[in-house]
Amino acid sequence: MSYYDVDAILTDAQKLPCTFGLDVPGLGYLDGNPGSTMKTGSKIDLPLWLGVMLAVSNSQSNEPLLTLEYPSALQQRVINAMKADPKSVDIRAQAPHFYALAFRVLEIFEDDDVVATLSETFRARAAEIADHAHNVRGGLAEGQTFLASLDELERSLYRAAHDGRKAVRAWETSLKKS
Amino acid sequence: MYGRKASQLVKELTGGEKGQLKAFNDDLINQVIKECGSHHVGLQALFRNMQEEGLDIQTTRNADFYGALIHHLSLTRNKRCLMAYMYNRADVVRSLRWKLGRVLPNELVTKLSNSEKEYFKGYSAALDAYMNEMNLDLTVCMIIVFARIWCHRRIRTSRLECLMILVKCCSLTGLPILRVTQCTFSNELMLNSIFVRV
Repeated sequence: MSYYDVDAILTDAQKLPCTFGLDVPGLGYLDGNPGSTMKTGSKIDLPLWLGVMLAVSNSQSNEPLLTLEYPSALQQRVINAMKADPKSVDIRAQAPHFYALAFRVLEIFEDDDVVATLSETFRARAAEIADHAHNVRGGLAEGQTFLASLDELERSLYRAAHDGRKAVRAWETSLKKS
Repeated sequence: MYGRKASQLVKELTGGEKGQLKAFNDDLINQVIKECGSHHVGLQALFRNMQEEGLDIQTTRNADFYGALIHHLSLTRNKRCLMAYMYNRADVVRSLRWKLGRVLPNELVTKLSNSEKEYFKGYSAALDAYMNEMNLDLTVCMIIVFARIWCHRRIRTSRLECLMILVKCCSLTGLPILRVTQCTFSNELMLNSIFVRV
């Protein structure tokens, strides 16, 4: 099912920094210089679908072709900001599909600390999202900044909460009429 | 490069309301297909290089191999995006039959590609054939339909069981049971069915 899933595809399009471990002639076009060689140690941002597959493809030789690093969305400073105050971090500015990106990246780098921080952040923000969905405060500045900082997953959560509430209210009114 | 055009194509599926279609982007699809063509050419060239050097394609891991691997991964990525575009749009086209009936308004028809129009016609025809054979109009009230279909499998069920089935059907369809005004049982060729007016 996730082969056709639009969110999965868009998540995979997000980039992470990769360092080449070998000289690969002919791959210069990845860096914008077609025909040149990709030197060992050169760092570029590759999309997830490419980076992950290249990093795991190397099974035989001693030198790995690529080494991956954490994307900028999951650097230490972001994690620290989340530990400090989950609700004020602008997640959307980091990556539009933040949690999905973290999910994919943590499959490769196993890091319990990051997992714990992200779970806590999600929990705290989900409570805040439910609050916003059920009590819509039009025009309040902090409310708007928070809502603008939601990533795709949180947005669908917000929409689900909001639409659910609306549907229940509509059903209640239809009951009263009949 | 990097399947950027393909990702752009998939992004067209988001944005706007759920169940709404944008115009079929023939142009972008052709560009992605052309990109696939050039990746394919590159792939063939690199494999030919490896063969000329006498290396075994299955096991060698030299630069040509990695270049070919990247071309291959780009091809599968473009394929995935193209397929997802068609698949998700086909989903919406199918739901249009249920929402709007057999004839679509003109502004909608202009957004569909020719193959999507054919798909809609074929799906509509298949649905009509099924409904005619079952003698059942599925596009009307889902509660009656579900209750009837469910009971088709049981013979001589008790009233309580039928009501339980009805409640289950309502929760499946997401409709609340507002009021059960009349409940009759009829025997049709050894099958029981419930007709409930809601």
